[in-house]
Amino acid sequence: MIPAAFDYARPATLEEAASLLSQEGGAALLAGGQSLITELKQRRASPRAVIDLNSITELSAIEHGPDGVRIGAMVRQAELLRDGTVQKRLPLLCETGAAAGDPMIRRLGTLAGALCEAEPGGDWVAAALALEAEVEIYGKGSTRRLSAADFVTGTKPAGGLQGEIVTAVHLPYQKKDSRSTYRKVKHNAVGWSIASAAISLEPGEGGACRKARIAVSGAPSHPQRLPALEAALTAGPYEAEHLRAAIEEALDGLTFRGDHYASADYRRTRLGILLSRTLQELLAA
Amino acid sequence: MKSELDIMLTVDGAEERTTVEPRMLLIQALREKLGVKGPHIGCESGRCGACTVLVNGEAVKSCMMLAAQADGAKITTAAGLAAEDGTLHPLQQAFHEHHALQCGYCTPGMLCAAMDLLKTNPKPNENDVRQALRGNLCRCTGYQHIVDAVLSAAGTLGSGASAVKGAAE
Ligand SMILES: Cc1cc2nc3c(=O)[nH]c(=O)nc-3n(C[C@H](O)[C@H](O)[C@H](O)COP(=O)(O)OP(=O)(O)OC[C@H]3O[C@@H](n4cnc5c(N)ncnc54)[C@H](O)[C@@H]3O)c2cc1C
Ligand code: FES
Ligand code: FES
Repeated sequence: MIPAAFDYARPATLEEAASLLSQEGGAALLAGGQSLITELKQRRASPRAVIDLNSITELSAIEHGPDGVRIGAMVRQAELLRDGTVQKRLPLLCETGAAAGDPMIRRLGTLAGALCEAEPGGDWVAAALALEAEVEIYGKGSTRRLSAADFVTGTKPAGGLQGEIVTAVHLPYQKKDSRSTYRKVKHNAVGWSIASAAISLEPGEGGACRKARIAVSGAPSHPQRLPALEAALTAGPYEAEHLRAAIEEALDGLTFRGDHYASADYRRTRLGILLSRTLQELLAA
Repeated sequence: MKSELDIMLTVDGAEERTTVEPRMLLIQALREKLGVKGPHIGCESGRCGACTVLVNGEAVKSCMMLAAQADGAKITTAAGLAAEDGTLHPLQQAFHEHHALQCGYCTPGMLCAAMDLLKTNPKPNENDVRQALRGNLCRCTGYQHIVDAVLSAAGTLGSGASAVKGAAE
């Protein structure tokens, strides 16, 4: 598995990377490479040039603020999971990360890269959606921000990036009383998600949730939130029967993917069971 | 933009220079350009971990990195763990004592992944070890003896005990 030939540059600054990107039509950006290098090897991508972001130190900072964290695009997944404040304030991200890939993949892989790749079975994407991440994008001399939900829409490239570079991912901290978890039915051999859900609930008055965020991955065509199910939980109350109906309705609204790992029907069934068990567990907690 | 690069790597203490195309993977540069045969190629797709090496002390899969990215880096392979006079590293010694290998194909990767674990977590429990090695596949041992070896090297396995309760010695 040898990639097709390409030229290579490793700029030291963001500006330099952006100007190379605008000069080189069809260049690919290399972050952790844990998706891109596979695509190059399989020749699903054959860019004329690869622009390596690994020397741009300004992209490597984890910056904690009062309400959330800004994670530079080149912060490694492993580093993020080791950060004490991230462990304390973003347990859902850490739980998800532990289920994504393996320690060596996480040593190189980045959160920003995982969001740009937006794999249909991406674990990181599901967590970013449930945590209401925002993606910071630099290009043409200015910066814009997109919510994770507007960034990952199932069309490529994610975020509609055109000669632009993701510079950071912003994550608000979880509320102290929030109950969250990441549950994944993984394919036993490859480890990718067959069906998974990142869920964060904030308990409210009278048995309803103050806020509910539910993002699913693996089973549907692309990772996405389930707004109707979220609304059902904030409307409450949630007797088992009511919950089952709301889940079925949410599943009816999705397009399921089937492939040689698992059929669409199987993915739908597993996702339904996973959502129902996990929500009951969190609601009863 | 470059279509050929001169790179310098320090591999197991020795400075090596070579010229690579940007598309060359680190594992290919090590094995084919520099004759470093410690790390193996199993899947070449990031799954099996046989190619794992330490790059500046951190375990990565060398089939998932371009040689160009490693320019200037310090690479340690399993072969570089032993002392210069051939005395095995305590982790290697533990692999030997616990029969943690059969065909040995996965072993260079297992050793590097375990080195990284013991650096960041010197007193791992069984689950820590299994998590740390989940990116390294072994077709022979069933993993138990590998886990035992790593725990023993970390000094957390009582002598003569197996991490599986009641497992035959
Ligand atoms: C064996 C294996 C198992 C894996 N298992 C899982 C798993 O279980 N769950 C999971 O979620 N993921 C898994 N992954 C994927 C892994 O998480 C990747 O690290 C991640 O998807 C991509 O991040 P990266 O930094 O490596 O990005 P790269 O591979 O470098 O880039 C991915 C894409 O994003 C673009 N890109 C990257 N950074 C930027 C940027 N700053 N601005 C604009 N574009 C950018 C690149 O051009 C490329 O198109 C696995 C990967 C491997 C090899
Ligand atoms: S050869 Fe690199 S992970 Fe299998
Ligand atoms: S000892 Fe044969 S693959 Fe592990």
